[in-house]
Amino acid sequence: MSTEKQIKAYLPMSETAYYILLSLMEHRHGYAIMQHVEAITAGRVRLGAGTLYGTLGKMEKSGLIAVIAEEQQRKVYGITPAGRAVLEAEIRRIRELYKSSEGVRLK
Amino acid sequence: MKNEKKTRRWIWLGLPEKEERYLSEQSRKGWHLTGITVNRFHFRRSRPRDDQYRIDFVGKKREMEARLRFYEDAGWEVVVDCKEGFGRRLYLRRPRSDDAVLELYTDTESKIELLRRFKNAWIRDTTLAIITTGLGAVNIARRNLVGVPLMQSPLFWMLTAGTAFAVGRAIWQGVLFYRAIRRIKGDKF
Repeated sequence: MSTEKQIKAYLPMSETAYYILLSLMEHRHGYAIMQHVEAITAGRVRLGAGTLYGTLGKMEKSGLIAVIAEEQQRKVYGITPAGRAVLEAEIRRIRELYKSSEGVRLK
Repeated sequence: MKNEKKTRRWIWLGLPEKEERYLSEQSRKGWHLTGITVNRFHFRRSRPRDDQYRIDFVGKKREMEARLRFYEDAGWEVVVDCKEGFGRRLYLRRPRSDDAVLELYTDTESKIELLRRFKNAWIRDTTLAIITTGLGAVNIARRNLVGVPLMQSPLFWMLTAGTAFAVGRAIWQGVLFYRAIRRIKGDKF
């Protein structure tokens, strides 16, 4: 799949996918992703093991992430150039969302 | 007092949620799941705990070990891993606490996917049951294999009842799945 198509297929991203990709800017294994996501969202986003396992499998299959190493059956993942392109497109989309909300005063 | 017991497991009556709740209740009473045979839960008695049980369903055997390892790393104990029709059912548990993620599936998409995996396996099981019992009944009716008037043949009645049961079960499960998926989607805007 071309990057163009992948961007179309993945955007807008679910929070799960977004935070997984963001975590994989550094190489991490599954459990480390969970902890990282929980830490950067101050406990708001907590990924279930089943959800994480399934999403990692799908992302690996479609080439957004890759297995970098395997230690005692624990896979260490990292983002691929294609994954990075998709993540960047999503970040641009989120910035636009944010910018369009600037005029709204919160009560 | 006996330290082991077996209870009936009504596998065909509902969604995994009911089983999960039942197993958690048992753990609070001090009965902890040790195994499963076709339609029985096996428990052993010890100190009451507040355990969260979750049932996962995996269609493909591939990478089963990696998945189990993953769940264990995340703090789940894999209690039973049983074959069910075309897939595997995993019974997982962990003690309830505030800092643990108590759900296996935490977003709408993956919750629905899990339900679909259960549903697809059930559809395959039920189709197989309907085809075998239905064909059997039709075959007897057509060739009158039993040599007695059809309406007096217990085999014919058994097969017909089997078909009816499988069809009824399929409809009941269809309704349950439809409602469960609607409920999950309802969480979302």
